[in-house]
Amino acid sequence: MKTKETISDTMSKIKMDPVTLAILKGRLEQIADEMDATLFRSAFNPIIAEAHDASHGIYDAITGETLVQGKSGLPIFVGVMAFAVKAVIDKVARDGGLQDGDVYIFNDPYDGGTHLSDFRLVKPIYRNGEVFCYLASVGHWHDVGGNVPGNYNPEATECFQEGMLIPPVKLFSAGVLNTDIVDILSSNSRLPNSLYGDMNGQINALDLGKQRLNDLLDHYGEDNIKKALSLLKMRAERMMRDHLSALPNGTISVEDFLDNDGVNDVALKLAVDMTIKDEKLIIDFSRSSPACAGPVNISRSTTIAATYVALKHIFTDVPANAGVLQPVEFIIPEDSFLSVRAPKPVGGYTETILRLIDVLFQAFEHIAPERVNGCAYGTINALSIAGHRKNGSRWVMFSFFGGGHGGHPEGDGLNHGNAPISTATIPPLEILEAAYPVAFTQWALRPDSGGAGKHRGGLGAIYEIELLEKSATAFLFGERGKFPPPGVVDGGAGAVNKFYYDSDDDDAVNNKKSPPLVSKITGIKLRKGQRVRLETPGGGGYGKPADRPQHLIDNDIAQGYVSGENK
Amino acid sequence: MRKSIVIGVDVGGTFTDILSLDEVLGEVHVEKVPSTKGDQSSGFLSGIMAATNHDLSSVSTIIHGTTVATNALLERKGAKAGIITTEGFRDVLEMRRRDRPTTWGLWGQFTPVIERKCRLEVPERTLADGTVVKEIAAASIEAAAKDLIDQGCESVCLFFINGYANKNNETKAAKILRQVWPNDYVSVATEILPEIREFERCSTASLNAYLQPVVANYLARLEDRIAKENSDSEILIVQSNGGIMSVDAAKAFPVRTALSGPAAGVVAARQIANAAGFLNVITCDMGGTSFDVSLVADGQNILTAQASIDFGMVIRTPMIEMSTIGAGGGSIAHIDETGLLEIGPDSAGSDPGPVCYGFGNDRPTVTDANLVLGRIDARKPIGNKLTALDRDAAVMAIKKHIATPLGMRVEDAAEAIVKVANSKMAGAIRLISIERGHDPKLFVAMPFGGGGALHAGALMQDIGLAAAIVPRYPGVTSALGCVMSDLRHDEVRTLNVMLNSLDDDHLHKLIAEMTSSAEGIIQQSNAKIESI
Repeated sequence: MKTKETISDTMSKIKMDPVTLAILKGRLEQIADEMDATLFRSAFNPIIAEAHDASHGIYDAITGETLVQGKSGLPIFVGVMAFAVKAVIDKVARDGGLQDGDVYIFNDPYDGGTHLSDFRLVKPIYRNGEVFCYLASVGHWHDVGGNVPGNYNPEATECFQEGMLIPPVKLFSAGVLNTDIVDILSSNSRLPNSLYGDMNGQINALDLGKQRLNDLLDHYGEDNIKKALSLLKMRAERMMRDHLSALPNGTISVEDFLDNDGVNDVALKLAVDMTIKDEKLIIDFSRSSPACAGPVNISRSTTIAATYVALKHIFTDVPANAGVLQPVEFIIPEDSFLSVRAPKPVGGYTETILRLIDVLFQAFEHIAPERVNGCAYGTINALSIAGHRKNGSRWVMFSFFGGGHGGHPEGDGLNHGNAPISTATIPPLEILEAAYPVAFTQWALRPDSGGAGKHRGGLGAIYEIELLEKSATAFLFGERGKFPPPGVVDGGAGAVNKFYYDSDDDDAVNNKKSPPLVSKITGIKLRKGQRVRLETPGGGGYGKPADRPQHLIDNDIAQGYVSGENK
Repeated sequence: MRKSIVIGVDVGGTFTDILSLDEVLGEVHVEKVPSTKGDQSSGFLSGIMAATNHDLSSVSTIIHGTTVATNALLERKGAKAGIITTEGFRDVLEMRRRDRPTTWGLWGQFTPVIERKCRLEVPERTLADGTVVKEIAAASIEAAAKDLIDQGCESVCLFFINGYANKNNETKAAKILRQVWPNDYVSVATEILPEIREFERCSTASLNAYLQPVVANYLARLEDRIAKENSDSEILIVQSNGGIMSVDAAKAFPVRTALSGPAAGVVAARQIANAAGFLNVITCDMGGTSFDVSLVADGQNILTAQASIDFGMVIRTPMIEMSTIGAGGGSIAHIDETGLLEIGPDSAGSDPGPVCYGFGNDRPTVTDANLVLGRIDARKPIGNKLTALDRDAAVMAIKKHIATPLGMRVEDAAEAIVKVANSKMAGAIRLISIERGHDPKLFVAMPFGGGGALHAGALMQDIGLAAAIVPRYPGVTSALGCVMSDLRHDEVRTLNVMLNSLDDDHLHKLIAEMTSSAEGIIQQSNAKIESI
């Protein structure tokens, strides 16, 4: 209990009246929100403009820790940006020469988290000749080179097959744009115009952030803002420690699995030994699998960021800043697939961090059942169908598909939700049909896919797509084909991911096939009239199925959420 | 006798506001009566009778901003409805656009307004290019209609995939459905919104079906009550886009009245500011539970293509864009887990209302803070509901819940509550302006609603707004807006082609179709068309 007293002591020494603090909290969060809004409005590519695959915040001048984050940024970015800023701070420490007006740019996933598509811009804010803090912007660019357009290459065995890798370099020196860097970036993308527009949107967001922050600093003074920032971080830390100290001490061991890495058909173990010690949380991933050949590895910073996302889903009231991770200690061996370095491929990082979040829900189930939910569908299901039209032009339909969320203390899981690491929506099927030569023959909830429980898991979906042109090829990058999303507190598991496609091959059964790696496959050949069918997992259940009231069971059957045949 | 009086009626949660304007004499009369829960038409009638000395003979027009649709949606009190849709797509309404209600936390729930067993599929299919690959068979529509009627559905929504690209199958089905359905409550998706995006179209049409019996019954009661007073005055309804429409149009498209009440206020604010020479305005409507901000740029209301009334309850039809935060007069001030002063999102609303109302709430609200600071006169509360406000009770509540825990004087605590509320409001204004690319410094504030003007000074200072204009009757701005609204009808179509392959003839034909459709609807109310 020592630490708690220390924080409270420190907090009481920083004199700031609660009214000013409440106002400054709102103003600082708003600067990040305004940066988000600026980029969403000006980005060229729909992944940022429509799906909001971006994030902005204010970061500590020395440690790079997250001080303030926008409300609308992508959850996983909220966790990784501290590492991105730290990467720049380390680079400056090595090379020196940081000046007012500099902006660093990079996408190195091993130092800044996530994958190569995510470009980060980091800008120091100077006050009285010193760095007061950093502002940073991250956005998912449409194409960054590599073997496949869009950079989701399920067969990559090195990051060089996934795209260009840019270490932290100066995009601006003392306010002057380094056009050489822009030229290098542009010539390494299939979509240079989109890249240029997105990059400028990020530059504008940082400019606006700087202007707003300077206004605030002029009005309230550096000391007050500094005090407010440290108090806000300490508040989050204190809340987190309070939450942890309310839980029983002890170690919980949980493991879950990835089907395979897309290259070798061997399951990958994601194991956690989680220890609560008073108000400290020790998360040990030592028993997890070593680095693998295929692209489901992640870097250490991504592992920590994903843990942050899980903790924020469990302790939703703790403010989004570095204070959340302050009481958390990580043990991640260097040879783990959760701690890889270049050139190990990381393009499919989404699958691994979704599993990591599932594992943490399953761990907290044992000590805080009132805070957790059954696991969500647990896969991004990136499906691509591509071909050439009659006029020879190329088309690529690339999209992520949804599934069920887990049952939770308040009720049944949400049907057809988005991934816990994201807030992105799915494009309308009518837009997909208008843009590409396909017709959906089904776009429906998947009955019987929700895990049983007092509160049933939400339903996954069925997407069946027919090809309207002469020929096309398809690939899928999915997970949860062998290991279903578990329920919690005695709830049942959701249904596993299933994928079928029509095939003329001799080994097809009734002209249908499923991939040997269950939900990862490239090079599917389709001809006109043939279909692919994706049945996505539902969420895990919450609580004993026997505790489900009869009228809800009757309603599930009446509405067809449950067929009533085997269950 | 000459009919020279136009009456605006805005029915809110607490009060029904009446503004009568004699267009010949130029006289304005304002009335505020308690709203009648259950059947708003009763308070409506007593209000207009009071405003006209019980004589409706010289009233030509009654224009009405209504919250019947809004309340039915928020309280989930619509009709039992069904959907008839394309085979393979019965779940479009429930699958939404694959989202969740909150960024953090995965405990979202969504219950669609039409339950799954009332969503029936029929064989038919049109492709995105308009090709019909499967014709609709009359028998399948008749069978589905019978099934829904047997299940007790009062209204029905007809929604076919790619109906926006070619509505032939849907139109054929609609004709059959209208022959067999026992009432007028048939909502056809392409008649309501002939636009690409299946979830948005299906949701809008489904909500229309869900609202139709409720809104149509209400409007019929209203017409009855007016007719019983031997009045033949015309009734017009304010739409979410700020324009008005006939009662018949409102009965057919009730979903377009979802933001009827607030839209009227914004229209009035725009016109007052424009008349005063200000074309860039931020309207701030502070009610009991919320603070609604809307933007007027270059003299025009900003419209949005769609809005969510609640999670997954999406309405896609042109609406005045509004941003709402939980910082109204009834929003409750409290100390959060970490010792910070917070306002809302809990609200005492208008019932029980602030502590000073004396109706049983003991947690301090923004209104209580304003009262304690002497910014509201305890002896002169607005409306006819109360004769005085209980300042002592407000002092006690602020002392107990805020001042004592924070170690402050009561007056300082009250000031702190107002400050934090101001800061939240300022944030809402900054965000709605910046998101649209407008610099708030070029705008003037137009506060209205019960408490808006109380906060205008602080908002000007905090945001650097150029000025604030307080209207003569801030409490009845929405009723005034009813009187000021123009008859208006929006038509939208999706034309999914590249610009360089646009067929001019086809485009002209489409515009001609839209023009005649809009003319038809406007002419139902015998108005002169100003522009198309």
